[in-house]
Amino acid sequence: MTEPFDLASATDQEIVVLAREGREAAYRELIRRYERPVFSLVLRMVRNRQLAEDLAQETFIKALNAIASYRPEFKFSSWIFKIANNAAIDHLRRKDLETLSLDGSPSATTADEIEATVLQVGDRGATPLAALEARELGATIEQAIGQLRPEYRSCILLRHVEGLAYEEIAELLGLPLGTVKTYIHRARHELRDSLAHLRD
Amino acid sequence: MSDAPLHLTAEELDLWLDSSLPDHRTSHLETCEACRVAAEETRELVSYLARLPKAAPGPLFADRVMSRLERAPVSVHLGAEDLDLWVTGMLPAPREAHLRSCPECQALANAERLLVLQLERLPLFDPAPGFAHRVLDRVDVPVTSVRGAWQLWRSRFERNPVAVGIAASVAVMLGGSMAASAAWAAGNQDLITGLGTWLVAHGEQWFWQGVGSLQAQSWYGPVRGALTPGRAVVALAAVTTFYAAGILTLRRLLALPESQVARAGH
Repeated sequence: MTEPFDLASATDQEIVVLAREGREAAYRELIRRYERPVFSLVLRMVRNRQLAEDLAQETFIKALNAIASYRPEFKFSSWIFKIANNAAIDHLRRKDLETLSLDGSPSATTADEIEATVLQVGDRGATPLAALEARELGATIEQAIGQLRPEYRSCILLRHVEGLAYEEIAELLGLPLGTVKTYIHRARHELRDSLAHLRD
Repeated sequence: MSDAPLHLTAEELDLWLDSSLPDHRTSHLETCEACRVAAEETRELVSYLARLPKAAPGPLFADRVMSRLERAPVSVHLGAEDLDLWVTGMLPAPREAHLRSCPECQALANAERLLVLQLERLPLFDPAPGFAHRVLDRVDVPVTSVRGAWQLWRSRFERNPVAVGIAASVAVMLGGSMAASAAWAAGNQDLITGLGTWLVAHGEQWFWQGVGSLQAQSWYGPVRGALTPGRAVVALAAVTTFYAAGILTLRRLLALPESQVARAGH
């Protein structure tokens, strides 16, 4: 049996309507669209691949089980990022996790644990030298992001990695707009300082 | 080490002023003269500060501020808000003019642009394969139609290796037994033909014997006499209604309870 229209070209709101009608394909499409952004956001927040996988799953399960209560006047992306961010922040508050590095969690004791907690930074350079530089830059940024305060980290990732507007972030995090701007400015200031040695 | 409780810290004095110091620390004030004096002095100081008169600026204060504001954009370095605007290409012309003439701000702006560019280029990560399946296995997809129920059952069946294995085993058994039956039938066609002929011959005889014995029953005559075409239709309708009501009742009794859904964000 085929879907009445192409799910891939439908808007999030249209897909949510189908999901509410019990169409599993619509649920699957929402997961396909947001699994990478949500997983990436959570991974950069908690810096542990297995934990990020669990939290990302919890995010989708919570969102999709509550799809009936989703209010279509809000963007679905904002809604799911809000749930993901809450899950990550809640976890960080509960566990008071140590700041992790690109080299893996300090609490990792086995090779598998180290592997699970390492953020893989891809090559983006055209030449081997450029690739090396890009990798070094990416690694430095990832490391610097990991050292930001969680609330700064949420804001900077939502603003510059996910491309959300300041107003959306304020709404999503339940913070005043001025606070969000301050967090982002401070985060950028700290990140600039972290990258300063690469510019020299 | 001394067993005496520690004196109140500056933060705890703050809490005491707000009446939010925990009881076990508040009780320390009752026994420690030094802390009690410090607390009282702090309260007096805060009270005094709160009563300080507000000094009024001189006349034309606002005008003097405004006159300096008009010149500020040219001389003051770019702030965080300016950098935001510059990265998005919306920096006002006076601030652009300052940027062009200030090497310090140019360096800052270039660093900002590089940072934002690098952040926007950060890669997205993939969860482990099968992520969607693992999520969907724990999602209560509402069933609102027969088609939806069929699609849901089919997709969950397809990703359940145990169910697929059982179905495959049953299919193999059924297919094997059918193939064996077909093979046997092909090798015993005479026997099957003879059996069919015998059944046709005796089946007709058994049918008419059954009809005859039915007519011989004591209730057959009165029932046959009372069953006019109109009454037959009414009886058929009553039986059909009773049957449909039974099906609906069974469906309601066998329906799964609706599951509680979590509120997002809570």
